[in-house]
Amino acid sequence: MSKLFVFGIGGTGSRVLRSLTMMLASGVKAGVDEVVPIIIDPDTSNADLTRTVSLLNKYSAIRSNLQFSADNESLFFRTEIKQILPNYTLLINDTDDKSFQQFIDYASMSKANQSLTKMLFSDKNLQSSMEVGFKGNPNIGSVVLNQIAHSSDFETFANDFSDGDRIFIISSIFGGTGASGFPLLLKTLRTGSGFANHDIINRAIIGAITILPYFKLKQDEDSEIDSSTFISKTKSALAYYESNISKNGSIDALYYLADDVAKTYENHEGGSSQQNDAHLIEFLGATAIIDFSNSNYMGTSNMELGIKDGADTVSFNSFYNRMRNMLYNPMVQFTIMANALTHKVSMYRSNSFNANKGNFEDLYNGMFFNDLTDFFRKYHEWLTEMRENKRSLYLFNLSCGDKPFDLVEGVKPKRILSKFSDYNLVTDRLNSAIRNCKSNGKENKFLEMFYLGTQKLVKEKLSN
Amino acid sequence: MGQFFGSIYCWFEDFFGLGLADYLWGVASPMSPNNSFIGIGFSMFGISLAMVLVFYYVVNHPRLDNWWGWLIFLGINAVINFIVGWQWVLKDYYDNKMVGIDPSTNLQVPLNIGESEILCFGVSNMILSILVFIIFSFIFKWWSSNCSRAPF
Repeated sequence: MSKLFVFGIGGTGSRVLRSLTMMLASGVKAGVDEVVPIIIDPDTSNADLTRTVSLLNKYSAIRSNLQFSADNESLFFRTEIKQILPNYTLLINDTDDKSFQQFIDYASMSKANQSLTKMLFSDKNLQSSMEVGFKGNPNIGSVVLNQIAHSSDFETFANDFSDGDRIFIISSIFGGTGASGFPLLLKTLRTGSGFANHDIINRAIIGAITILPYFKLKQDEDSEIDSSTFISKTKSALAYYESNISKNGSIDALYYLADDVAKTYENHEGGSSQQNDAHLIEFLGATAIIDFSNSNYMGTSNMELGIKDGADTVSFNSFYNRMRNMLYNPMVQFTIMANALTHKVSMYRSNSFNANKGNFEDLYNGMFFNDLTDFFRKYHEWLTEMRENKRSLYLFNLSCGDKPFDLVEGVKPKRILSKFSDYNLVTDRLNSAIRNCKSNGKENKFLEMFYLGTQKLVKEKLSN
Repeated sequence: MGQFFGSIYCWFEDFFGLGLADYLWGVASPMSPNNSFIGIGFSMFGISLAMVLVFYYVVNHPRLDNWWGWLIFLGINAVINFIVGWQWVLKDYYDNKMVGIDPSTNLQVPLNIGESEILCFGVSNMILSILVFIIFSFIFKWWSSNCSRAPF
């Protein structure tokens, strides 16, 4: 049972984890049995983080009802998301209710040290609260996050690590938390010795994605975050990464993602108001994690991703074959299921859905189905946000209504010889699929039925 | 089989008349000496079986997986069997096969069978076909992928 520990640093880390969770739910194949998300963000109330934690909890609640024996062919929710920390969050010591100067104990420093500190940090830096992250200041983050290895949560991670497990780190390069946290965390993982299993962790396969600027923030005099500095910060950080990460071979795979089309968001320093809409770049970031989990590396590999064209709207047709093949079937199958159980739920939970007989009569009133319905709502929100963002990721036509196969943007449904069409065809394939389900337990059977049914439908109607 | 079908149809002999029953048994007319219940019965069974198989395995439509979907096919089967039963016997009537021999004159005389009795026989065939459709439904419904919940 190999595991992939995914450290999501800062707001971007949480948002990429959100996309990863959606992909794992749809059955995109990760090369590991378990994914262990660990969020590092001192701003524990930021909405990007809380939304991701809520989604991870929902995934785990659904997954806890499922057993994947060899007979169960379903890939929906197959990869286990393991929780080793409360709220999946690695807490950094001593950041609650403190300003940065309290954190570094500025008041008790000698005059000389205070002067040196003043050279490195502005008064605004020193007075900023640690509760809402580092507000785009990696110089603060590099001090605070140096404490990671001393936390009990890090010890929990180290104790859970086994030989053969992998580590992946998600960070943005242009903010505060991610930009400072990534090199520090990597250094700790590669050279640290004061924690359990450090010998295994030091030589583990480690990958990372560093996300270059892909959005802007509105100018705000009262905010410490100024998106006009994103590019200059990125240049400095890239130069640092080149000499201290790539060249010294401390990482096995480093993925870079960037986009020159950027949307301007509201300028929130953090807290519950920091909730950016899901974005294509975060989606692609999640694919990097999948790619990493399925790949082997000899030395440091630097990876970039290209799409076929630079249009404002990206669809499945924009991806090259490897990426398209990785995503297409699982996501289309999952979306057909999500649409059926959202828009036609009254029919599928009624007696007129033949497969219910003797299988799912009492499933629809239970927690499992409630969780599944809630997950589908979040999934639709996620797709909608990405579609409305800039650059737009328009994978699915979510307003296809009673035409379930007018679903995939840029893919015309094939005509097939069948007396059924639309949702009658979906229902017919599900009723046939239930006869081929070999798994035990109603929850397993329910998802396996949808997996087998939608697999056939995609092959018949929406194959490449 | 003639005995079997005849005894089933004779549940309704008070309804369609003893004269027609005797004719169909093949004992009333020299023009029709064989048991006609065999042909009519097999037709009724065959049509009902075919309708059941069409409903559960050919049409097999998810939207018909309920009592009213099944009832539509039961109704169609009933109408077909009414027409078949009625027309089958009516043909003999118009072919002047429903005659007996007057022993005193040795001449053919029409049997006491009218069109209303023949219509009643069609209705009897229809009622029997409904029963047979129900029986076949409960035999064959279980293996239907989309309609095994019909009628309930």
